[in-house]
Amino acid sequence: MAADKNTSLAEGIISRLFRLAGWVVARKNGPLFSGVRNKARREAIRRFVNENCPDQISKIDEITKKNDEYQDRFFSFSLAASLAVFFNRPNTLRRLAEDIDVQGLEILDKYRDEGVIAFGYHIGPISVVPVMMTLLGYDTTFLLRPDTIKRDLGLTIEQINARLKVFGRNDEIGEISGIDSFSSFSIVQMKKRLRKGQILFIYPDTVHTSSADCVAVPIFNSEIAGHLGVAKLYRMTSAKIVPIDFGWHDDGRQYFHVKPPLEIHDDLSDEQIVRRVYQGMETRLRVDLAQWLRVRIFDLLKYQSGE
Amino acid sequence: MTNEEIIEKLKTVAAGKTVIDAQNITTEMEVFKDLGLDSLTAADFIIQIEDDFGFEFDEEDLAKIVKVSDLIDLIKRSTE
Repeated sequence: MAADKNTSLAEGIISRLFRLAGWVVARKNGPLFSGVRNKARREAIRRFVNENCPDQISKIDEITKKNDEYQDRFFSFSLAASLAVFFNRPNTLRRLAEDIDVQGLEILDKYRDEGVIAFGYHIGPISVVPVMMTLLGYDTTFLLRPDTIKRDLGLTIEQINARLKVFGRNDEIGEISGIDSFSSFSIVQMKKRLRKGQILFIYPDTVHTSSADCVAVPIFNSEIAGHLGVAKLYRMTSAKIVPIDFGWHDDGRQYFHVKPPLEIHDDLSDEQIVRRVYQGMETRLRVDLAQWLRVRIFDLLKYQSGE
Repeated sequence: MTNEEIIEKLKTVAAGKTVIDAQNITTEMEVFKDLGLDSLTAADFIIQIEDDFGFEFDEEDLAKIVKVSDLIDLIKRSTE
């Protein structure tokens, strides 16, 4: 009994430390990430739903009330925060990861030799997934923006990779490293990692950006820039593009769900491939409004406002 | 291979990928700025070099490429 109590106490402390780490990083990222408190958030959600799916507005109050309970749990938890915890307390992160329900790992196992591009919409806690997968023993690669990661962690990508190398590969933890997404050779690097059987995680950017390498993708009544590199990488490697969804069970536990690979026919153009990949995310989020609202709603609102 | 042989082969690889006529490529040109490669055409370019010359660049070496001469040095070192 005493042991149980101690364990429970330790878990409570660890959980608070974990949230504190996320909060500290989130505070650095400004008010959108630290979360505008209840009233303003509810108003923003109501306005957003009213514009996008007015028939669902009656459900909003109930859902947003529950949503408040989730707001602090994972919303502030960025890749930077997960790396910070991983550097300092990998066992802490491992224990917390064990409390997250991961489904569909057999899909990764099936296709990893052919190369897997794991694709998650860049909202909510999706950034945590690469670190979680590493803890589960998968070799993973993820893209990092050198400017934001420097701002969040005070480290360069080289410094981060050097630290990640310390963990090395053992029976339990896989290899993990980041690629500079601004590097001119990032696509070549990604291809090489895929050839090694590493799982490459890609998240579409959450801001309006545009360049010759991007196409406008309609999403949530707005448009974001979808990078053609995703289609290019697919063509160069024939890797499987595997969506990763996330959500919450009724008891509040979080889940990540690895979905079957997208079927992409050879006659699709690069633009069609990119639109296919991006729009699938919206379709799946729209299926369940409650899940949809629990993701980082302000990321979606940013699309509307063009910030 | 000599530097001259490498650059001649590079011109063949670069044909159709650069904004300038590949025959006008010189060793002092910068790979991205002067040849006009973006990340997508650079990927094509590098991978075709690997296929045609029969080796693979180390990731760390890729980051060091600025000029065509850097590329030639790397190819020479990797194929010797």
